[in-house]
Amino acid sequence: MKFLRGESRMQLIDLLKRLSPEDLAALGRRRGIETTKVPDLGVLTGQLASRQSLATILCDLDAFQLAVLRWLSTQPGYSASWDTLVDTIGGRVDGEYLIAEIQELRLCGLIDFDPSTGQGFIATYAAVPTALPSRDIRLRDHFAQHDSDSLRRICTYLGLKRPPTTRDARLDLIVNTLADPGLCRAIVHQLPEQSRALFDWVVAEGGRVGLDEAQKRPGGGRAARFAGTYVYHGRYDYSEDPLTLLLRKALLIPLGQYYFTDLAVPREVAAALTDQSPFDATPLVPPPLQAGRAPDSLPAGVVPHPLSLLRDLAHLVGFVGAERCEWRQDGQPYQRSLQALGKVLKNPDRNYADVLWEIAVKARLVRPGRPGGGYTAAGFGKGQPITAFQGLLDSWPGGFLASQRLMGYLLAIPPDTWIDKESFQQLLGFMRPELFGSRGSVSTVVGSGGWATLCRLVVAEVVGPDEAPAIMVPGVVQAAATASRQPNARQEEGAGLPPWDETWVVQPDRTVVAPPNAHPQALQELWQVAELESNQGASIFRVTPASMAAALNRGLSPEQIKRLLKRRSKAPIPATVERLIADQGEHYGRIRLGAAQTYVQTDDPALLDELLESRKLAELRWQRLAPTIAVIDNSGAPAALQALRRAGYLPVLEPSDGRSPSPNGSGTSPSNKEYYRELIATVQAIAETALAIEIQWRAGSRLRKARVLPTEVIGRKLLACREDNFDDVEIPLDAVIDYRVLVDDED
Amino acid sequence: MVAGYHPERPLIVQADRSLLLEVDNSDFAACRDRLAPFAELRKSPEHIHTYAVTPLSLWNACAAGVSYARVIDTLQTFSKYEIPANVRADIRDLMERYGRIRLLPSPSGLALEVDEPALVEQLRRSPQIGPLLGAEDGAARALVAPGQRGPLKQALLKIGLPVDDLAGYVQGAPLEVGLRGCTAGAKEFSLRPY
Repeated sequence: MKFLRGESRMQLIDLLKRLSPEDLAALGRRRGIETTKVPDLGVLTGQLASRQSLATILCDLDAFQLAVLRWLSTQPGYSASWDTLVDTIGGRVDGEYLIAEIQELRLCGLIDFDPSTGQGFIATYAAVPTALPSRDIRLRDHFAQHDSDSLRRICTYLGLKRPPTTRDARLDLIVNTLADPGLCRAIVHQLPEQSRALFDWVVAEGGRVGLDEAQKRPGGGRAARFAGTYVYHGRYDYSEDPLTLLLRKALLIPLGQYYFTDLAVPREVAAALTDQSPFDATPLVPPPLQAGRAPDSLPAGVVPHPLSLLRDLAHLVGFVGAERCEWRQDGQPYQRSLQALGKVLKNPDRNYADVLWEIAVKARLVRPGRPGGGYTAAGFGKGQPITAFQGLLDSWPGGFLASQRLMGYLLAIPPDTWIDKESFQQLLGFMRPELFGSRGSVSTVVGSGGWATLCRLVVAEVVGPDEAPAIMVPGVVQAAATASRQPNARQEEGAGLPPWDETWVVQPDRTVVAPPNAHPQALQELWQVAELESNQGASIFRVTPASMAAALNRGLSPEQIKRLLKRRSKAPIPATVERLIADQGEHYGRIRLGAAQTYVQTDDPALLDELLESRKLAELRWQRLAPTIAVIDNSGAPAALQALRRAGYLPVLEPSDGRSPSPNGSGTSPSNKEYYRELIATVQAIAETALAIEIQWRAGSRLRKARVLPTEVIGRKLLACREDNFDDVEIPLDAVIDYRVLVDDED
Repeated sequence: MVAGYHPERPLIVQADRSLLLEVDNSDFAACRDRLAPFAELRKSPEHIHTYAVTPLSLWNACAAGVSYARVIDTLQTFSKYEIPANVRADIRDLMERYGRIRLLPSPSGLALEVDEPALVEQLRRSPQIGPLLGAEDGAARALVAPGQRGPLKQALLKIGLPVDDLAGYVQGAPLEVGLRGCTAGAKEFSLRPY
C-alpha cells in the first residue's frame, strides 16, 4: 500500500473505495447513515469524518478496539505493518478474535487493514486519532497550534540534525523520536543532573504536577509562568533553567490557558519510558461474568415482572383519572399523594410509587395539561401487553446513549441467573469504556433514579449472603423484550405474557376481582367506582359507600355506576352491590348548595317588594328567600350597594363579624383599591349631608381615632373638621384603618 | 398459546401467598381438595374463594406428611399464571424449618434436639425460650420438663420455629369417677333416661 511506513498517509476515501457494496451498507448501519446503492463517496467521507459522527462511534467501541486505535495514533503516518501489530499484541488474543475486532473497526469506517503475513498492514486516517477521547496529553495535540519554527527549534534541542523542511514532517519527527523507547531513554539519560531529578520526580508523581509544586523543587524555580511558544525561542531569558530544558525537549508539556499551571509528561514519552503499549494498559478480551448469590428468601416485588408492572401502572393511571392525586402549584404530584398510592399498592419499597410515576411520565401514560394544573390519564392505547411493555422499554432510555446501551447489555445477560454486579460493571467497562469505563458504577451512569427505574423494568438487584450485590434479569422480561421486536404473529407466542383479560367478577361481599392480566382500561374504570383493597397478583377492589359517594361526586349517576360494573362482569351484579348503589344514589342531592354573592335584608317586607319590582334595579338578579330577605347572585356587595344608591336608596353594608353596619362595610383591607374608592365615594356623598363619620387612622407610630365632619377629598387626603371642637384635620387616605358613618341615633 | 398461562384452570396464586379459587370451574372441587392440607380457607363468597398459605398451615401440612414438592405441584397443576418467584422461595424456606427442632422422649422427661448446636445456644439466650429449657444434654440437645411441653412449643412457633413433636404420650393412671345417688339436699339423683 502506498500509504504504508510513513510514505503517505491513508485517507478515508481509500478505505471507502476498497469496501464492497455490502460492507458499505453495513458501515452505514453502524454509523446511522443511509447509504444508497451507489453512494457519493465524497459526501459519505464528509459525513463519516465529522467530529460529531466520530465521537458517537467511538463511544460504541470496546476497550480492545480503542487500544488498537490508540496504538495506531502513535505510529508514524498512523499506519503499521500487520506483523508489527501482531508482535505488539504478543499472542494475548487469538487470531480469530483479533481479525473480528479489527474487521468491526473497518466496518465502522475507522481503519483499513490487510491481515496478510509479510505484506499486511493496518492504518487509519488523521481525523480518528484527533477524535480519540483522551485524558492524557499527547504531543500532537499540544503542538498542533505551534508554528514550524518552534518545531524546528525543538528538533534542535532534541539533537536531531537537519530537521525536515515542512511543519508536519517536523512534528512527525519529534513524535517518532520521543515515542521510540531507545531514543527517548537516551534523551532522558543525557539530561543534566537537576533536570533529570526534576523529570524523575514528575514521573514518580504520576506524570502530572502543579507548577507551584515544581517550583519548590531544585531547578524548578526560574521558569516563566506564561504559556505559548516563547519558551522555545533562543532569546528566552531562562535558557539554562533545568525546567526550561525539559520543556524545550518536549519531555514535559506546560499546561494552562494563559499561564502555566501544570506540567505533564506527554503520553508518548510515558509510554516509551515504561515501554508500554496501549495494549498493556487495558484488558484485551471481555472479562467473564461471575455468578452472584441471592438470599434464600426473596422479598416480594424484587423480581420485576412485566405483567405486575403494567398492572401497577394501570393503577397509577386510574389513581390519576379518578382525581385521587393532589397537584402542587408547579403541576407535579404531591409526595403525600404518591405515598398514598404506594401504600394502596402494598409494595414494600417506599419509593415504588415515585418510580412508577417516572415510568408513566416517560411513557406518556399520564400527560400534563389538566385544567387547573397537573396531569391527566392518557392510558395505554391499543395493543396487547407485549406492545405496552415494549413501549415502556423504548421510552425509558430516551435519547441517552449510555442508557440505551445499558439496557441492551442487561437484556443480553443469561436469563434467570444471578450475576455478580461488580463483574457486570467490569464487563460494561470493557465493552463500552467511553460510556461506562471511568464512571464507577452503573448507578452513576444512569443516576440512582434511573437505576431504580431499571430495577422495576428489567433487572432484580439484591444483596447476597456474602454482602455482594447481585443482579438478575428474569427470563420473562427477556422473552418479552425479544418477542416484541418480532412480527405480530410471533409476538404472543414467545412473549410469555398472557393477553389482556377485560372481565372482572363482582361478588356478594362487594369485592370486585380483576385478574392479574386485567386490561388497564378495566382497572382504570374500577378506580372510578371502587377502592383498591389488594394488589398481590389479581387486583381486588371493594365497592364501598365512600367509593360510591366519590363516583357520584364525579358526576356518575347510580345507573351509570351499575352499567359500568355490569359491562365487564362475568357474573350478575349481586343484590348487595345493587342495594348499596341505590341507597347512595337516593341520598345524593338531598342537600343542595349554590353560589350567592350578596344578601339584602330590609326591616319591612313592603320595602323588599319595592326593591324587587324596581326597574332601576332590574340589572340585579334577585331571589327572595324570606319576606324581608333576598339574595343577589350576580353581583358583589359593593356593586349592589352602588346600584341601590344610584336608585335613591340608602343601604348600608353589614360586616361579616356582626358589628354595626357601615356604608361600605368596615373591616375591609386598607390595601384594597376598591376600599379607597368606596371611602372617597362615601366621603363625597356625606360631605353634602350633616352626617359625621368615626374614623381611625395611623399617624406615625400612633393610632388616632376621631369623629369628624368630612369636607372634601383632595388628592390622597381627606379634609375634615372634628365634631367636638371643629378643628381642621387632614387625614391621609393611605393611613385610614377603619371608618363608619354615624347615624343620628348614635349621637 | 402463551407459555405459563392456562386460562382454563381455576387458581390464582398471589405474591402474598393468598390463593384465589374460582368456584365456577370444572376443576374447582379437585383443586379445593388438594389445597385443603396446606392452605386455610379465609372467605368463600359466591364466585371466588380466598385461601391463605400461612406458616402454620404449612407446618401442619408437614406434620401430616405433605412435602414441598407436593405443595408446589398442586399450585402448578391448578394455577392459571406462573407462580410468583417469592412464593416458591417462601414456601420452601418455611417448610424446611419444620423438622430442624425435634422434641424427643428422654429418660428424665423430654429433650429438645436441633440440627445445629449453635441454635440451642441461641434459644437459651432468647428471653421467651430460655426459661423453658432445662439442662444441657449433649451439644445439640436440651432437657425439657414435661410441664413445659405446651408453652415451649407455642413459644417456638411464635418465633417461626416449628417443633416436630416425636415425644409421644404416656398412659396415665386411671381416675375413678362416680355419680352420687342423692343430692346435697338429700334428694334422689340419677341421670335422665334417653
